Amino acid sequence: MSVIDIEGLRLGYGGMAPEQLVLNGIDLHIDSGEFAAIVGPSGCGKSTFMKLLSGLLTPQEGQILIDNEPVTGPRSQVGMAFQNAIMLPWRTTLDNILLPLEVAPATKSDFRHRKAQYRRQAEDLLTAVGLEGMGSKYPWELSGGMRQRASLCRAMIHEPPLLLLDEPFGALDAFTKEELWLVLQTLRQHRTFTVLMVTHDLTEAVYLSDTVYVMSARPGRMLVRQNITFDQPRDLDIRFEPGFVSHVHDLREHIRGTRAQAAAKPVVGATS
Amino acid sequence: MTTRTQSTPATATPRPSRLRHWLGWFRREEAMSFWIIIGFFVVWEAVCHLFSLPVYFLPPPSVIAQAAVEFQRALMINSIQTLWTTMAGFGFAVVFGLVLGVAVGGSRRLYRGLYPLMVGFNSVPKVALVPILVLWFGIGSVPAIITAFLISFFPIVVNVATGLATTEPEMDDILRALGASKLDRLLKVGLPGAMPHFFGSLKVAITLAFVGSVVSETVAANSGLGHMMLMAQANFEVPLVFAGLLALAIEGVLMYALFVVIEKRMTGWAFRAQTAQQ
Repeated sequence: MSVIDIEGLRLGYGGMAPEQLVLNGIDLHIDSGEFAAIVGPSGCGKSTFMKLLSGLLTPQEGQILIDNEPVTGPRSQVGMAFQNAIMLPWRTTLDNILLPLEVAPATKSDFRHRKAQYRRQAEDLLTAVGLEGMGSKYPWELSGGMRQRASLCRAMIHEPPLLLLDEPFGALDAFTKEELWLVLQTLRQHRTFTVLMVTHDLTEAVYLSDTVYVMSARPGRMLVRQNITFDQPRDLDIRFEPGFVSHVHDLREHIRGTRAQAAAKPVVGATS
Repeated sequence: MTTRTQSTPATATPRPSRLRHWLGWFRREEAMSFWIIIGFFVVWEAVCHLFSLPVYFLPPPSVIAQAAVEFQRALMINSIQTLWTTMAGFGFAVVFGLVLGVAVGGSRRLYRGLYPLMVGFNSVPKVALVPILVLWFGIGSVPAIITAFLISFFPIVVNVATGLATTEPEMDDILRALGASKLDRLLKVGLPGAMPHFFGSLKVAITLAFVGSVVSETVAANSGLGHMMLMAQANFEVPLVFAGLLALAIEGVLMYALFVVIEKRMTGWAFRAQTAQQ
C-alpha cells in the first residue's frame, strides 16, 4: 500500500514559464515502511520537493496524496530533519525534542497533562539513538553528531508515519556519518515508518534505501528508479561488495549524464 | 578567588597573604577600569593646577568634591528626581518598544510600512520636541518622562524586530510543518530567540533615557539634575555644575551595570552558546 502517491506534480516559482519551472512532472509512489532516497545534481529542486511533501508549499499542477489524503497544508504527519541540526539554545536537549508535541495542534492541549509520559518517550528515543541520559544537556554541550541524533529524535517524537530528511548527515565527518546510518537503521527496527531522504552521498543513498531515485537537473523530474534489494539491516561492510559498488557506479553515471545536459545549456554548470 | 589559588599547584606557590591577595586584584584585567578612572581624575587635577585654570572655567576634581559635599542635599534630591523620571520614561519605552518590535518583526508588511516613519521620528532632535511637550503638559516631570521615553524606545524596537527576523528558517519550517500556530511560534521560538537582542538594547536605551530626561529638565523643569545644573550655572557655581555632571555619569554607569547583570542572568545561554561554538 502506498503512503505517498504523487501524480504529475509541477511547480514553478512565480509562474510556469520554462525558466521559472522548478519541478516538471513528478510521479512517485512510495510504499509504507519504504526507505526512499532522492539523489541528483545541486539545485535540481530536491529541497523544494521536500517542502511540498510537508505541506509548506502547494504545487500549481498535480497532487500529493499522503495516506490517500491530499496534502493541502501543513499537518503533523511528517517529521523533518535538516543538514543543520538547529536546536533552541535556551532549552535542554529533552525540551528541544518535546517541542513538536508542545506546538502540534493534536498534542498541544493535553501536553502538560501527559508531560511525564512524553518525557519517557523522549528518553526512550534518546536511548535508541545512543544519547542515554543526555536529555538534561544543553545543545552547546553536544557535538555535531550528537546534535544530529537529537534532531532525529525531535523529528520522530510525535511518531509521524513519514520522516523527511534533507541531507541530514551532510555536515558530519565520515565516521560520525556511519554511526548515524546505524542509528537510523536501529530506529527503523524500533518502529515502522516511511523515510524519504534527499542526499548528495550516493553510498549513503544505496546503503540506507530500498529505492533510490535520480532527479534531473532543473526543472526536476525523476529520471531513474533503482531498487536496492540487499536485506535490511545491512552491515557497514556491504559497501565494499561488488553488487553495492555497481549500484553506486550506475547512479553516478546517471547523475553525470544529467549534469552534462545541464552544463550544455549555460556555460557554467559545475558546482558540487 | 579561593578556587583560583587552590587550582594552582600547592608546591609552586605558597598560600598568599590576605594583603597580597587584595593587591593581586588590582593587577587583574577587571581592575583596569578602576585604574583608568583614577588616572583620568589625576590627569584632570594635574592639568587644572599645571595651567592654573580658574575654578569658573574648569574646576579640579578636588573642588568639585567639596562642592558635592556642600550641596549634597540638593544633589541627592535632584538625582533621585532625574532617576525616577528616567526610569519611568524608560519603563514605557520597554513596554512600547517590545510591543512595536514584535509587531514590526512579525509582519513584513508592517515593517516596510512603519520603518520610514520610525526613522523619521528618531531623526527629530528631542530638544526640539520639549517646547511642544511643555505646551501640552506644562513644566515638570511629565515632559521629562516623555522625552526619556521618546529617545529610548527606538533602539528597543529595532533590536526586538531584528531578533525576531533572525529566527532560523529551518526551525520555522519544522514548526510550520507541524501545524504550529503563529502565536506558538512567536512565544516558543521567536521571542526567546530575540531576548539577547532585547536585553542588549536595554543597555543602550537606559543611557539614552538619561540624555532625554536631562535635556527636558534643562529646558523646562523645577527640579532634577538638569534644572539644578542650569541654576548653578546661572549663579556661577561652576563646581556644582560639574558635580551634577558627575552625579549623572554615576547614575548612568550604575544603571548600565544593572542591565548588564540582568542581561547575563536572563540570556546566559547566548553567552555560553557562543563560547561553546568555537
